[in-house]
Amino acid sequence: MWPREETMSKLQHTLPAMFALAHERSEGARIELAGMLADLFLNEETQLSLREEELVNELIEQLLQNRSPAVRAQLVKKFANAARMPRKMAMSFAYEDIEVARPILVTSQTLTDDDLITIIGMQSRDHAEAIAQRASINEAVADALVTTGDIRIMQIVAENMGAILSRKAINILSTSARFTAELRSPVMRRPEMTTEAAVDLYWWVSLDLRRYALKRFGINAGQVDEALAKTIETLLNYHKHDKDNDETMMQVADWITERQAMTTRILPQVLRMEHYRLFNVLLSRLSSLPLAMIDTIVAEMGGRGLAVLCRSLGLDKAGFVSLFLLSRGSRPGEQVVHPRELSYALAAFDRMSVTLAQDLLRTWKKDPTYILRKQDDIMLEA
Amino acid sequence: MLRYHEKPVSGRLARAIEDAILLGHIKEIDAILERVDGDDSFPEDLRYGLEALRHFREHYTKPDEYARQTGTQTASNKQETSSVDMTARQIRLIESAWGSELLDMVNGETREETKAKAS
Repeated sequence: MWPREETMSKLQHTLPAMFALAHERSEGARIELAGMLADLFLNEETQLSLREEELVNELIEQLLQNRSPAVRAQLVKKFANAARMPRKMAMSFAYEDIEVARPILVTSQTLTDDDLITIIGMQSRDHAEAIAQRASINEAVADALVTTGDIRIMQIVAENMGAILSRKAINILSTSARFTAELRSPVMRRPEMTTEAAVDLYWWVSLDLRRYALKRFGINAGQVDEALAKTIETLLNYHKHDKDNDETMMQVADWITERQAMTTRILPQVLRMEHYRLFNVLLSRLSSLPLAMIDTIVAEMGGRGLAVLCRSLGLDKAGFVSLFLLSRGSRPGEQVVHPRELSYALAAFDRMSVTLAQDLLRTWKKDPTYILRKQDDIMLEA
Repeated sequence: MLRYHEKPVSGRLARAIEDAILLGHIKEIDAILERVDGDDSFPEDLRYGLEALRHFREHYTKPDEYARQTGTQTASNKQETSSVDMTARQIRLIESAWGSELLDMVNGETREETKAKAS
C-alpha cells in the first residue's frame, strides 16, 4: 500500500497535468486523461482521501460531459475489466446501451445495492440480466431481480450461487417454477429452499427432483398428499376457463398420470371444483373404458353404471355416494338428486360384488355398444 | 326398484325411526342403520330409503357443498340470490316429502294408500 504521503505526492504531481488535459477540448487529450484516471484507479493499493476523491470526481465529471463515442469507448475499454471503475463513471455507463453497460453491470464493485436496484427498475431487461450475472448479489438486489417476473432473469438468479436469496425471493421463484420447467431444478436445489416451499413445488417437478426433495427435506406421506390436493386445485383453477375443452382436459389427465397420481382419491376434488369433463376423462383412464362410454354411464339415471364402475375400482360406499351426488351437478336442469334416485343407486351398489363389477367391465370393453345403446335411450327419453 | 313392504315396523324401532326422520339429524339415522345392520327381516326399501335420506342431508346441508351446488359463492346479484333461495326451498321440500314417504313405510302403508290419503 502506498503510504498516504507518497499517494498525495504522486497525486499532487499528476493532478495539474490531469486538470490541464481536462481543459483541453481535443479527443486525444480526453483519451489521455481517461488513461491516467484508469491507472490511478486500477492500482489496487490506491486509497484516496476525501479531498482527493472530490478532485478526481471533478475530473471524471468533466470527462463524462464529453459525449464523443470515441472518448466514451476508450473510457469503457480502459475500465472494462476493472471492478474498481469510479462509482460516478460506472453509474453513467450503466445507463448506456447494454453493449456498453454490460461489463460494468456485471463486474463493477463500486455500484451500491441501491444503484443496482434503481438500474433494474429503470433500465431494460438486458440490464437486469447483466446484474443477475454478478459474482455476488445481496438479498435486496435479488428481490428486485426476481420481482421483474422475467423468467430468463429469474433463471439466472436461481442458478447464481453467488446470489443470496430471501424467503420472499424463494417463494416468488417457487411459485413461478410451477409453470416454468427451466426454473424447477435450480430453485429446488437452492441452499435457501425451505421445506414449505419444497412441499408446494413437489408435484410440479420431475420424478428425479421429487426424490431429491424427499431426501433433502424429509417430506412425509401426509405432506405429499396435502401437496397433491393443493397442486391439483392450482392446476384446475389455472384451467378453469377450459373446463369443457376435451383436449386441455386430456393434457391435465396426462399431467396427473405422469406424476403417478391417477387414483380415485382425486375424483371428489375434481368434481367439487366442477371439472365434470375432467372427471369423465379420469374415469375413462382409470377404468380403461372409452370416454363416450363413460359419458353415457355418468349421465345415466339411477347410477347403476356408475355403481359398477366404482365397485370395480375398489371404492367404498361413501366414496360412491360422494361421486354419485357430486357428478349429478353436470346434468342440465335439475341438479339436486332426489333421495329416491339415491336409494336405487345405493341398492345397486350393495348388490354388486367387486368380482361381478369387474366381469361387467370386461364385457363392456369387449362390446361397447351395450352401454352406448343406452345413450340412444337417454336421448329418446329427453 | 324399491318394494313397499307389507309388514309394518312396529314398537320401539318404529318410534326411533320416526324420531330420526323428524329430528333432521344424521347421527340418529346412523344409529338406526347400525341397529338393523344384518337384520334380514328389516324391510330393504326402508333401509335404503333411510340411507338415502342420511346422505341427502349430509350432502345438501353441508355449508360448502350446499354453496357449491347452489352457487352461493358466485351469487353477485339479486337474481342469482333468488335462485339460491329457490334451490334451498326445493331441497327442504324434497327432504320433507321423502321423510313423509318413509314415515308411511314405517307405518306399513302401501303406495296406493299413501296416494289415496294425499288426494
